[in-house]
Amino acid sequence: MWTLDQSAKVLGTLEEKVMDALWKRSPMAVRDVCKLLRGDHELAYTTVMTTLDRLFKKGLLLRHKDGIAFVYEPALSKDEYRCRVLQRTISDLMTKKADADPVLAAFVDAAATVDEANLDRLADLIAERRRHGK
Amino acid sequence: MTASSLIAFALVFLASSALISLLLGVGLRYGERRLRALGARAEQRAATLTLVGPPVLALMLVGLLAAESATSLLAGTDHCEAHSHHLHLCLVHGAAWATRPWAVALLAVVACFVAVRFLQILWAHVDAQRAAWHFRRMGESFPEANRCVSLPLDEPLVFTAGAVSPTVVISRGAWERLNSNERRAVIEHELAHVANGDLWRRALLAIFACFAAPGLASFALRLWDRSAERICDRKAADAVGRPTIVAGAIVALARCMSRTGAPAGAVFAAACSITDRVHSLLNAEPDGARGTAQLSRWFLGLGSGLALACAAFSEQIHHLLETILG
Repeated sequence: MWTLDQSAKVLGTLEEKVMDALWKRSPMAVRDVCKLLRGDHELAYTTVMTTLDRLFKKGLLLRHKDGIAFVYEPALSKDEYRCRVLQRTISDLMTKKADADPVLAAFVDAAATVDEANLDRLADLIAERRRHGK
Repeated sequence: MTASSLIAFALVFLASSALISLLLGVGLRYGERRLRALGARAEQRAATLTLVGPPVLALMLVGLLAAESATSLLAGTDHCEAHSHHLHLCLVHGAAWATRPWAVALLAVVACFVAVRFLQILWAHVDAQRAAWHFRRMGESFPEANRCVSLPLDEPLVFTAGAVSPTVVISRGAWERLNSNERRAVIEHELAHVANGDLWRRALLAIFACFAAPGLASFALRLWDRSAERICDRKAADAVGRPTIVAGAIVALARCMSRTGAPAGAVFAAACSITDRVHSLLNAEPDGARGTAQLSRWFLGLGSGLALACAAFSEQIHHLLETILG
């Protein structure tokens, strides 16, 4: 089974639509999701069921049985999901690409900012310059 | 054209590029302090010339070597008759040493290294560009600053991503920790990277660096990164009116990052210490425009002189090189 972290990548178009539908209204059974999405395209029941199952396996949906059918709901809010995707993308860019070359121009590099005493000295120096009107 | 001639010319190109790079790199290393006094732009120009110059000059050298046999081929004459007095290196006959296993193996290893490095750099930048588009879709754009987006993250992050279509990203965490002047300073700094085309220029230089002498390439690239940061700091200081605002923003964000543990890694700023940047801003270091013009004139003069000398003594130089390399 995929973990939530692995799934924190950009979703496919249908997956995004399904997630959006469930963020608007949940929990929903496959049939309800189908009805909601049919406004856009003619979607087969099995296609939606497979997509929901895939999203469940990615850790983005929770499900439980209601009678004989599964009902689905999001495992995390839309904002939480957005943050997770963004954090993962940024972390990938900054760490995994380190063996290649810089692909980002960051204002400050976090790795170079450990010495608090040095930062205090620099802050004092800046304050002194400000007092002299520079 | 034979395989041995291709191997020979490729190896001559690689060896001469590495040799020229070694000479320029040593010059860069010893002239580092002088360049620093000239300013960040001069440093950046010197680093660029150190990386771009060697493969370009090596290509000229190979061209000079190949020109005579190429013109002979086109004229349908055998240029090699003129070489009865020594061994030679030409497009038709190649060189005896180029068929030896060490030459073939050496070229194969270097070609593989360059190909892998090229793909690695290309892939990293394609990934970064896709991420930049993704940030633009996911973030909230700033109405007053084109290309800038705000992301709903608590980590204090400010960066520019995307070599083709750059996006400036500012996290909510960074935005909330800065005052209005400092916010403007960080935006101006990142927009300066966009205006200078730093990301695509850096990608091209990394490819050129494949043909430089090992060790010196990374030194020149670090110098380039360092100067790129200082140039953008200076631009931001000019835009906001006071260098202390930019210096203050650097220290404020650095302090937040050291406390919150923001992701660190492959960024330009890694090559440039915060102390260095703050001192450079506060001491009103020259921007290096004059030094850049001086350097360009110097390199242009040297290049023109070499080209004229090669044109005037092309036959002698050609035969001399063949005697050495044949």
